[in-house]
Amino acid sequence: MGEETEKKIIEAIKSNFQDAIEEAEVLRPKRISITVRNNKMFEVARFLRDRLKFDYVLSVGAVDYIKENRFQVIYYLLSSKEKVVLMLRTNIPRDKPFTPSLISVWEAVNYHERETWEMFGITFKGHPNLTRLLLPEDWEGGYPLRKDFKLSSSEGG
Amino acid sequence: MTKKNQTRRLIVWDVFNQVYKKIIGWGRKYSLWPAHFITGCCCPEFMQVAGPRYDMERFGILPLPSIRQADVLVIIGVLTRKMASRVKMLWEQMAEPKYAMAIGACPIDKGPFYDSYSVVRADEIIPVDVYVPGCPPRPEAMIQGFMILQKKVEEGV
Amino acid sequence: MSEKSSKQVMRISWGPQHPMSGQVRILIDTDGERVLNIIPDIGFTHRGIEKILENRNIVQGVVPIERMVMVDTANIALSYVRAAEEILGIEPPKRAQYIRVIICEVCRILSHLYGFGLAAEACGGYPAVFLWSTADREPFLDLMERITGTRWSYSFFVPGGVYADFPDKIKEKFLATLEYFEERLEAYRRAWFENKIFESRAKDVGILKPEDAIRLGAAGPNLRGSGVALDVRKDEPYEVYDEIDFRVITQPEGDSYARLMVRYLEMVESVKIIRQAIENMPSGPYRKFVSPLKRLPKGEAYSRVETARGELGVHMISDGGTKPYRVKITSPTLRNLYVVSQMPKITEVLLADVPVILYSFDPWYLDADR
Repeated sequence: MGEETEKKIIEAIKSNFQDAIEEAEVLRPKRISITVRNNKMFEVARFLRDRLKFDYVLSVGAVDYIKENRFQVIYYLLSSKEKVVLMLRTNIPRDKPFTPSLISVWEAVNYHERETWEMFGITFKGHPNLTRLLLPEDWEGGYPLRKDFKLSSSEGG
Repeated sequence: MTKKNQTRRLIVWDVFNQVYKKIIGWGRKYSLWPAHFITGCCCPEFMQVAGPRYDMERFGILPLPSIRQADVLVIIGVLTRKMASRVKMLWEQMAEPKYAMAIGACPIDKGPFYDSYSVVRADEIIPVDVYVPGCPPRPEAMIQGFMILQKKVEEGV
Repeated sequence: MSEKSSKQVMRISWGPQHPMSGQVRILIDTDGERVLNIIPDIGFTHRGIEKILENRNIVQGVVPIERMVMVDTANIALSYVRAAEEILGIEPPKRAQYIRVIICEVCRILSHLYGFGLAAEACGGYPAVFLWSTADREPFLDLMERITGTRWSYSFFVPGGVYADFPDKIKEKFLATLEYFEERLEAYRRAWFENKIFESRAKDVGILKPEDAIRLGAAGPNLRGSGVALDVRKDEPYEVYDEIDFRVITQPEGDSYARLMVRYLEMVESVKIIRQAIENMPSGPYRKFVSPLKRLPKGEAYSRVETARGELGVHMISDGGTKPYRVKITSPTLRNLYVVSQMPKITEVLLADVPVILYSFDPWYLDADR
């Protein structure tokens, strides 16, 4: 059950984009995680789709690291041939939450990027339709999944 | 008119009224038609009640498409803010006499989502006549809820 | 010239109060009978489960998350529990894994019966097939009530195993129910798949080619109905699926008929899986106790489970407390709804085909809204 396929994928990514990759590791069999600088996201995404055949998008999400003043946007990708899951991550500052939209690379990220915008307030530049998906049309309460949005059962809520 | 004739008229009118109310009550309570409308996750259990084993049509409960001709608005499952504005619209479109029923723990007091930011209670939106607790309530509990509503309908004519 | 000027676009709002819409509003732009655009307007059942799970520990968290899909609660609870077990670094005992697989396959049968019945109702078979499927769920619900105590939302899985062992003499009840169900499957095949009405409404309707299915992100039986053989139970076997002999069902055509045929054949495979699991189940402990107040180690885990609607993933990130820092849920229905919305662009869709296509994708909107 070794991790040869996963290691080969990481080698291919690292050799093509040495300075754009902040972190690349095999978490366990069939799980790869790479963290990419935000300005190189588009090129890395095209490389993953065309050369490494990561063609299926599972989802797009984000994590709010409020203590370190950053958001981390995560793209969950699957290779339908190798059956390996890759998490493509990028860090963006919390006070300037902009990241390029990857809708021209994988069109299936449409609804997922809309939901991430709605829940976190992260703007995906280049997305044709950043409008409400899950929350009511007249929602004025802020961005629910941010850590400073407290529920009634949390401390300070 | 003589006093004896007046009294006789009042007695006849009173007896007629009582018989009339009994007939109308019997007719109304055995033909409570809810509109086809589900709001949340208790719906498979409601479909089992409509199925062959717990047949609810033998009590006269037949779902129908149009809200204008419906007698009872059944809120089955979670009520969120986005759906609440539609529920208010539907309630105002129904013709008198109309009743409302809240099935499930969620419309009563938010259920397992007690601290959610987008779940509301049913009686903040419309006046509810019968509450059926459970998550989801057993089919026998839903039928008992309908029987309590039938008693209320008969007495309230 | 006259073609362009005679185009009159009408927007139909197929709203939340409708006998066959579910908890969604679908906007359909039509020009006569031809559909130009399908826009799903979801969010009517958005409860904020991902936010709620940050305020629940790993034992309490099973309760909100399994209410994502009420007909298929075991598979979703399994995904959450496996992510927690991966962070904790524990593996449940073998008997617990067999019990989990049996309950998950029963839930797959319940969910496919539900989806099958609704698709038949969309094509016009309400009295026959929809009510049959409602009645055929009852024996399985009785079985689940004997084992777990409730009919639908079991909350039976816990990190470390399951809450209780199988009661005595449950094996005979299982075999009797499965024998009854196999007769019913034969009746469905004769009434539905050999039915000219169903063929004319569902064959060659909503054709999805394999490249489009992957590019647009279809999930589960919809992907396999276009010939793409992706199934998490075979790609990355979890629990005891690697010790059980079953095959991945695919159909090459890609139309609505093929997608429903995949669901039907998956029910047949589930019966086989349950039979093997009951025969080979070992004896032993059913739970490795983990305290709900235990502090999770720092780390993350992404677990994948094949639910009845497609692959569902739970990405759990923990920062060392008793409650997870972030739980991200990958929903299969959100992916399927995007494919439905792009259908008018890849194939010709008439207005009467819209319910057939929508229900052949088996949407459950509480799963998309979370």
